[in-house]
Amino acid sequence: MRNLVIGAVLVGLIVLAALVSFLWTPFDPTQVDAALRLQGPSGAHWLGTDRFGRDLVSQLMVGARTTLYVGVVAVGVAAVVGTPLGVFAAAGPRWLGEIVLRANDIVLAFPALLLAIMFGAAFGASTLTAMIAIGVATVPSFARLARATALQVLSTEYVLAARSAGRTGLAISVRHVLPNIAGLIIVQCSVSFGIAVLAEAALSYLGLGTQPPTPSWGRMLQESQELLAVQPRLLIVPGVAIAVAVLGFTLLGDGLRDRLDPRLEGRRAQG
Amino acid sequence: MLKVDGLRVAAGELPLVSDVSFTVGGGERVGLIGESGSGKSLTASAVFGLLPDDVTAAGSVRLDGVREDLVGAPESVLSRLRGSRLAMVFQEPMTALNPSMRVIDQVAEARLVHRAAADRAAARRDALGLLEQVRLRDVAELGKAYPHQLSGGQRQRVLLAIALANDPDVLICDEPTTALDVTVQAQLLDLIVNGVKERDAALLFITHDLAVVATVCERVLVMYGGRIVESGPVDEVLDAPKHRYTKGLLDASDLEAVDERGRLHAIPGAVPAAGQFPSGCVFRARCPRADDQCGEQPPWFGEPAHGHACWHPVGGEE
Amino acid sequence: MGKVLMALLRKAAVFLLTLAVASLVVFAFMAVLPGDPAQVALGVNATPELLAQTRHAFGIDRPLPVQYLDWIGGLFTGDFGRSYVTGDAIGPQLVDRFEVTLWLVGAATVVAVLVAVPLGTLAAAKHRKASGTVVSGLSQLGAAIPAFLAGIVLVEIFAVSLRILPSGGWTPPDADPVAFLKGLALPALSLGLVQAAVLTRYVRSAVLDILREDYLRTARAKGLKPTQALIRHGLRNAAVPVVTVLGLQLATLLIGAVVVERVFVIPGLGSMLLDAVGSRDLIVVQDVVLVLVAAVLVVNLLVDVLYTVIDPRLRRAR
Repeated sequence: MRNLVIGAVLVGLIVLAALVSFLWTPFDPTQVDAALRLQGPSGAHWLGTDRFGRDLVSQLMVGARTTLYVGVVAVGVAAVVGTPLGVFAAAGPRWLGEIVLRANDIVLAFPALLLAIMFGAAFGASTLTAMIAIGVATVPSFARLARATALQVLSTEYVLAARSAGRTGLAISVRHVLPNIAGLIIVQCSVSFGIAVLAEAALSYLGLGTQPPTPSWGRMLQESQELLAVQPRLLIVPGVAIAVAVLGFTLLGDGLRDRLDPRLEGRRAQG
Repeated sequence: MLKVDGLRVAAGELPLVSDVSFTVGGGERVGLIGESGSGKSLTASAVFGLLPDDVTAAGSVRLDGVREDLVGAPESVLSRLRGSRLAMVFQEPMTALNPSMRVIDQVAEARLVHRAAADRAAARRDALGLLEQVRLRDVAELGKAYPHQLSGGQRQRVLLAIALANDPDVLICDEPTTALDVTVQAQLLDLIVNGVKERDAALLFITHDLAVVATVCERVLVMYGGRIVESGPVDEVLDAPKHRYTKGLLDASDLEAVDERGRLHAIPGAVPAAGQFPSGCVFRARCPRADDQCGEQPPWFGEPAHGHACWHPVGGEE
Repeated sequence: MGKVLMALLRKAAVFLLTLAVASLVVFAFMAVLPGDPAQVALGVNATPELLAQTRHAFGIDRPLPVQYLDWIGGLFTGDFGRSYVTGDAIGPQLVDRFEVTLWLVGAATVVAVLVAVPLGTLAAAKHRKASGTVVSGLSQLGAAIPAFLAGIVLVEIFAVSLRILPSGGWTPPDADPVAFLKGLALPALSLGLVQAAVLTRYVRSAVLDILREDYLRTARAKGLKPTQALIRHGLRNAAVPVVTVLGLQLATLLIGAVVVERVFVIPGLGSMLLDAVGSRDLIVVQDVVLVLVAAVLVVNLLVDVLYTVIDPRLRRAR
């Protein structure tokens, strides 16, 4: 329960920051002003400015947008593509299941960052390529989870009863399998979101994610890394933001999993 | 050999076992019977010192020749006794062996832990001997196998071999045959009885099966609601029970007797959850003869090893 | 034994098949990319004849299947082709860089295991006490930090402030072992500590599961002390889930190495890849991606094989 609450609060903070940023930010996060470089926290700039004179709080807020954006699209793609794949693999003919498993293995051989680098090389680096790459790399997790859980549900007695009553595979899938895996899929979404945030941060750090001038927490780290001794604040701020986001989603996922546990029979969720 | 006095087991505030006292002498075979929820397994675990984390024990458990009281003794003392002077066989053979260790090594370990064997080779030889004692065949081959390659009955024999490895003075068996097929049960019971006879060891045998207790034990203790409600020689208790609960148990297991309505006997009601037994006599809520007097905890009538705790025992109106 | 061999052969076959398909994917991906490597190499002002010549030299004017087979064939003989940008043979540099990345990843794994196994076990053993919760919480936090951030911070502490370790660069082990170790320390730590945080959670979970197992109780019944029992019986069985995670994490580790190589300016495969992407040296990108993918698949295969060694139950052909 505690995990759930802490996770929800942390995620809520991020979401709030992002939402508010649509309406208002203290300053324009992309506005460069040499005169205001490297200022400490003050009444006007609550967290100070970076080496280009840009306000940190505004960058933080708009960066939240980027982070959430990437996470939502990547995880969304992965869930929407992976879950049906997994269910079909479980419910359909055996050869289909084998193919999906093999395809999964192949995609798994290409970790998210690698795909993002490839996509970046191919189509130019941007938020979009990052999202798609992370999304594609996350599909196997969902497919595997959906398949494993669907297999378990399909072998439970009430499904066997439905089958013997003459229901078709599709009807069974929709009525029985989906509601039962929905919970675990949601948990996986939360966990994968955390992973996606880390991936996006790494990509931005490498310059392969969100391009300037759009603010991104990962790039904030890259831009300020030599200044760690002089102005640690410049790294602490985005670093904490990333940690809060990842921690929030991971705890949320763990908390949800704990809550769902007694209500699902025989669950085996992916870490 | 083993003297238990006023043993109390509780999960925090919730009493699970109260006021249990009994002795088992060397060479004696004593049964502890009761249904699930009677506290018999907890009693055994408390004697052995392996209670779950949130459960505590109080009272006294004394083993001949050991200076300290086993209840509350430090782990170092208990570890030295377990597997050497005091041994236990549990109920579930399928999961009690380490799946990634060969059978012979698991038996040999019992010898090595207490330095009863000089080295690994000697321990292995001893292990083979022990496996033969429990009448397993082809012990050399079997020893090299892994637990998953053995049947339940074979695994339980291995566990018995482990328990008997260092010639314990007290062997506790917690429902060792319950999970086994009937045909295999008889063989295992035979092995257990022979095992303790050969070593002149004390046996505390826990079960819910009256037929088993009749075969194996000389004396029996009946437990209900975390208390001992009757004890005595096995023939006497099973032929002429005094406590109403014991009578109920016996009637219920008699598949030929029927009551006035032509139905098999059953004890009305169900065993209450842990810690929710009634005040006074623990059995009063289900007893056909209960009355106001039973609101007061019945004392023990008779001698410590031969008596009952019932205000209105069978066969006498007191 | 025959069964085990069959299973291994089957796994090897699957591995090769997956690798082949992956190589197709990589090749196809690179092939459909917009842009002309010849153009990129020669610049905007190249004449059409020069472009055609260069394309021919690169071999990219041939039909795709031919290019693919030529590439794969070359790989078998160790010929990775020549860089579009520098014209040098890629092979030797690839090997050097791969070795560097291997050192980094290997050291990071060692760090991760050395930290995670004791910490995870501790967190499990004390999971109801404060120390357990603290460790658990710290590992959650640690897993939420990007490895490169850990790297940046470590550089600050050890390289800049304390000046006991270098902030970057690389010395081969045979050139100067001490400098090599010093250069390896911080990158391995940044990568390894974050991995340790993730791994600790799995170790904790695996050990918690084991603590509930019956065979641990049997071990205690033999007279093993709690720690002894856990180590001798538990850890071997915890190895399976832990090795699984390590295997899965290795892919992440390899790629994490890419980023860490940037932070510490280490000439590994990661930086080779990133540089090639930057300079649009697509043949290098193709080769390096394939090598990385192959490494991931090899690790998966090794983990799979390792299972059959660790857990005897998995030795049956599935």
